[in-house]
Amino acid sequence: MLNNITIGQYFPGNSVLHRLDPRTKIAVLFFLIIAIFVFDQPVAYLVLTLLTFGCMVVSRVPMKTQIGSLKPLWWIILFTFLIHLFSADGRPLFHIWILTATWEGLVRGFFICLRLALLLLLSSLLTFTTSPLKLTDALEAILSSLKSIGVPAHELAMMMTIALRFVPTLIEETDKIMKAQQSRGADFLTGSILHRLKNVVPILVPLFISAFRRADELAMAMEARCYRGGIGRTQMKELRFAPLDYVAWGATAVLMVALTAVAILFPKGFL
Amino acid sequence: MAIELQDISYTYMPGTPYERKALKHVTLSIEEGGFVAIAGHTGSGKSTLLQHLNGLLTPTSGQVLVDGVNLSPKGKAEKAKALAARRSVGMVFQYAEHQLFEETIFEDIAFGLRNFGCDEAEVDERVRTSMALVHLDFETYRDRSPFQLSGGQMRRVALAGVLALQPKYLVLDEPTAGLDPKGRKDLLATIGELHRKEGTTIIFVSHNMDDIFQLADTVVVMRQGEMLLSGSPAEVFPQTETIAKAGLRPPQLMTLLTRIQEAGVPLTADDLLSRTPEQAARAIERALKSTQNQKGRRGNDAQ
Repeated sequence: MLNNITIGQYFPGNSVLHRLDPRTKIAVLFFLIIAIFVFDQPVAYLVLTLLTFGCMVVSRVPMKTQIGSLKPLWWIILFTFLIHLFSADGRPLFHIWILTATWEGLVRGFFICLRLALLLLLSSLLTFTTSPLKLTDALEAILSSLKSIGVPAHELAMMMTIALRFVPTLIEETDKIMKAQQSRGADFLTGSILHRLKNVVPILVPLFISAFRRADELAMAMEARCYRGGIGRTQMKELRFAPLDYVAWGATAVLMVALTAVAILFPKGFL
Repeated sequence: MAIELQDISYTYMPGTPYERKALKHVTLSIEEGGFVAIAGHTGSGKSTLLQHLNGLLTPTSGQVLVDGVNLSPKGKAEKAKALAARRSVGMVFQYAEHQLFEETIFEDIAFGLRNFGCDEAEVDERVRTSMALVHLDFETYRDRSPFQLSGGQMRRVALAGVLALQPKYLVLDEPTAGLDPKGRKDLLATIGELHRKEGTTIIFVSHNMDDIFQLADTVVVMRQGEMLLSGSPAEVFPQTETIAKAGLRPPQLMTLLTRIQEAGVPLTADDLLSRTPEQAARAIERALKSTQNQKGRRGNDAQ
């Protein structure tokens, strides 16, 4: 019943993207997102689209899964497209009721939706190719530069790690409790909404009890090992930049400079 | 034939990198009135196998028949039948006390009965009987919160909650895990009683070969999703090498008796399979007496 949920959406693999340092990936993603928002020349869209699809192929994560990450925002994308289609001024394309679709709207709607899709695909690529653990490590590393202004970087990262660590455990627990109550005739799938809500109680109560018990045990175990936060703490697997990361940094820099140059030299675009 | 598993396989998360084949072509039949133990190392597919017995999991291939009824039929008419068949199999999960949620013990045991639509008189009656079966005094405990009890008692309440449904087959996943020695002894005695007095067919998973050896009349040994051995304890346990391959050890009593035999006490093959310490003691006594008699006779001959 619950065994088809993948945790985060990490897809284990050994592609170039998997091997990149997570900090590099977050930084590159950050710059690419800026690029997607800032540069609106057709040539920039073309380059960024090709880059995104290039990365998607290189990651070796099945295409179907990657395209599937667009699914939750399908309606928003469609809605955005329609709003642009009907709201822009310009040469009329066709009329429905009191609405007028325009050529300009069609073009603008298409590019806005392309933007949204690229954003989603690139960010999913980060979570597809980076294990949750590495992701939190990278976040801690990035946040720790803000320590001087009082951001509790280690504590935040630790909370995230623990939360991620317990997601599968709690899912397993929920699955077990649901099965146990089902064996006693509980029915979660049919009946009125009120009836179904009432039937959630036999799952929630044991789940809460077990979550608190686990939290208690974990706190005890951490204290028994003298856990006292991030001060002076070292890591078993330290993040290190490899040549590959410098290549990625360099390529991103070149791309950004090139796109900026195009934007300044050809403000109207040359396609 | 009461419960029949016909060539069932089960795969977790098929089509993802996390895909795992938990069961591979298992065929097994469990007789009515039997006491079946399923043994195996962690991850051998025991728990997955158990969850097929009352239709919580549907096999990826193969089928499960309970009293001749397929548990996962295609037609609508057969679905009602399948539901009834599922209900004849009671399932007690590992750490069953984690499923308790009601305010009083009475209400928790009555949960299943209410779901199955019993009227109040019957609920009261059945809660009483099932509490008696697990040796919990009805008047003392009915209004207490299940969360005030000891671990062993909580597990009894959970067991009573399943027994109240009067299952024909009782499936237990490591019923004694995490209990203290007394809790474990009591619980095993209760399960033994259910089998003897109520005639309930018992199917249980255990890591503990000693428990299995004492209680079960059929042992199934699992390894990496496959059925490695099955048969009576007398057939299964002497195959020490195969058992070791499954990551298990033979019962301690049998190991002890084998050592004694190796030390020169003439125990027979039957003696090695003594199920209780008392039986073993008698066998050793008999063997020792016979050697003394022989020595005595040899002494007489020499004179």
